[in-house]
Amino acid sequence: MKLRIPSFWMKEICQGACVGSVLLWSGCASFELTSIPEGAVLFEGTEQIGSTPYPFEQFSGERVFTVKKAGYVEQDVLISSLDQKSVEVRLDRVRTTILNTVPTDVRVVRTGDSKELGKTSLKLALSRSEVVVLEKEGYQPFPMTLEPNKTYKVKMEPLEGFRAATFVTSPAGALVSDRAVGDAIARTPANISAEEGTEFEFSLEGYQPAYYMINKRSPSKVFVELIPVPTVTLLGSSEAVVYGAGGGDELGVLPYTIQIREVRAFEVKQQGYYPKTVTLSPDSPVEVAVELDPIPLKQLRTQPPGATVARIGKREVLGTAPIALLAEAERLIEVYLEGYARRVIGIGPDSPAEILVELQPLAKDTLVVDELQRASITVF
Amino acid sequence: MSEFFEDRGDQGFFESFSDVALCTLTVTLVLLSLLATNVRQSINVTLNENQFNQDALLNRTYLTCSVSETGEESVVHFLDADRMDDLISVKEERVVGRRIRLDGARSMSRRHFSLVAPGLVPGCNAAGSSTLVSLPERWLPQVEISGIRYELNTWLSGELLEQCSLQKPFEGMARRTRVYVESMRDVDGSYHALIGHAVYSLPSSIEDGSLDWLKSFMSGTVDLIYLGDLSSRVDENRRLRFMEEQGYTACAYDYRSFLNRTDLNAEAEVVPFSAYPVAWQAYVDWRMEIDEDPPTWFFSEFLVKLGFDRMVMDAPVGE
Repeated sequence: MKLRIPSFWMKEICQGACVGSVLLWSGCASFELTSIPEGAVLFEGTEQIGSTPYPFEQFSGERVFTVKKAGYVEQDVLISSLDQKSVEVRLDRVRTTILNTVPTDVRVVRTGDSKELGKTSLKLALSRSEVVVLEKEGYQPFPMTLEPNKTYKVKMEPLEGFRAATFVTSPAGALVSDRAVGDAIARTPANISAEEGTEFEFSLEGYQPAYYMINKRSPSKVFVELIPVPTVTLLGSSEAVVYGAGGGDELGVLPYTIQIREVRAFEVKQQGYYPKTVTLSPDSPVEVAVELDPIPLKQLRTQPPGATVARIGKREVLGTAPIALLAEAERLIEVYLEGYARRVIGIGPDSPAEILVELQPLAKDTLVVDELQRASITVF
Repeated sequence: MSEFFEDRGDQGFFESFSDVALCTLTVTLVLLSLLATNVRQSINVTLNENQFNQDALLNRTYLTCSVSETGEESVVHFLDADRMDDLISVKEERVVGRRIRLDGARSMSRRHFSLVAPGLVPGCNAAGSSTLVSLPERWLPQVEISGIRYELNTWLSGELLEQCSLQKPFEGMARRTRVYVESMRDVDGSYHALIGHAVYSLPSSIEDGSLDWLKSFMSGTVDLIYLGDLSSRVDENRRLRFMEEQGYTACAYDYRSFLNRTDLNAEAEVVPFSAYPVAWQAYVDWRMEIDEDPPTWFFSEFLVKLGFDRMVMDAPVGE
């Protein structure tokens, strides 16, 4: 049997097919995801599915893609089956994400893995958002999300019972430390939140340490003027050497400049002089002249040299001339040399520095026989 | 009765006391006598070494030799130790040379010394050292003889001492230096004294000073020992005969040659009795064993004129 369709029914069927095909095309058509620049990697969830341009079929629902490309900020794209078939994603270049805090030196900790990203002020190159917590002792933790290429300025709120203050020193750069604990905190200028009653020590090379205790009435800005450590210059002979007292190491030669934070003793020595101990304090004058008393050494030479020098009576031989003798008091010494007449000389503090003793050679004695008796003998 | 016994008791007490006192006195006297004897013996020992003149002269004589600048003449000097030691001990203080005069009698020519050397026997002092020693080398004075400069020669002094061939005959016992003397009367009646090889005619040798060196020893440092008389009517040399008979032929030969030599003034020669000390010692021992008395003329012509007396001739014994 042959089914015969009337012509007006055919027309109706054709019209319906056309409408159906249009509907079909509009509800399950192909999509294309492109990116600027191209070549970005596409992830759907954690699965890498391809790269841009990325054509795909989607008949219903929504899909979320993550577009990643090195050097660019990654971007999530939500595509619904009802959206336009061509989706273009423009990726931004990764620039600097800046995080400033008041006070500074705040730790930036990533929430996901508790990794510290750095301390403020902080510059980061983020390709995606990071959820972080800002932490600083004495301040309340501050959670936040860092978006790439953004600049943030966060004012930290002090903890209950804490007080924040900005410490400024003159000159700047002093190291601020907790005097009780000893931990270094920051260098001035620094905004520090600390528990009330905390005493800070400000120390800077060349300056005396300064202290400040924070309290309820502390101003928000504390100015500390550092006083330079007094320096004292020891003056004297350039041959004199400065040592630490009590057999300390050699420190230098005169003139010797040293910072005196507390009372300290030095020993100044020079060859041929008695050593002298010098005690300095911060109140000492800027320049201290050190005058050493010479050891009364007398250089004894003999002519001819090589004579033996001994205390009187030859009981104690002092050495061989030329010799340096200590003449603190008057004393008698004996100088003798084989073949020369013995000399006894007195030396004392008033004797000249150079003493020359001329030894007289011993004269030979002479046996005198006026006349030799001639003997008249014979031999047997 | 009771009183009688009481009296006897008191008397016994006094008798006992006197006995004790007497014993104490006796013991004290004995001890004092022993002490005195001991001290006397010590003094005697000290004095014996110096018994000649009872003084404290050192029993030591320095013998040294000086040589003229030309080296041609040598002179031997006998120097008293006590005087020289004083001079030596203060030498360090002297910057001006001292001129020390020596008696010419205490010096003799080297030849003269060589001849008498066999007759000189160094003794031994109480310290065991020789009584005839060289001058200490630390003191080397110059010598001036009749205005001519001489230099002391310590080496030569030692050599000369070696010529005194009869060395150390005393086995460490303290003895003074000995001089062995012999007498000889010639066929013509002249007298001679012999010391070693040297023959001194008497009395001319005493008058002309040839024996002054021996005079100078009269200080208690020398013993003069008489060996015997060598006079012979048949012109015989007893010394030579002894050497030959006793088998000291080499010594006898050299001695004969020595007597027959023509140059009697030759210096620096070791005489036979110095060269043959064993033979010479045997001869001396032989003569000493004979113990011959010296002739009368030896006292009158030699000893008395020299100033010696009979006591000097006695060799010291008991030391």
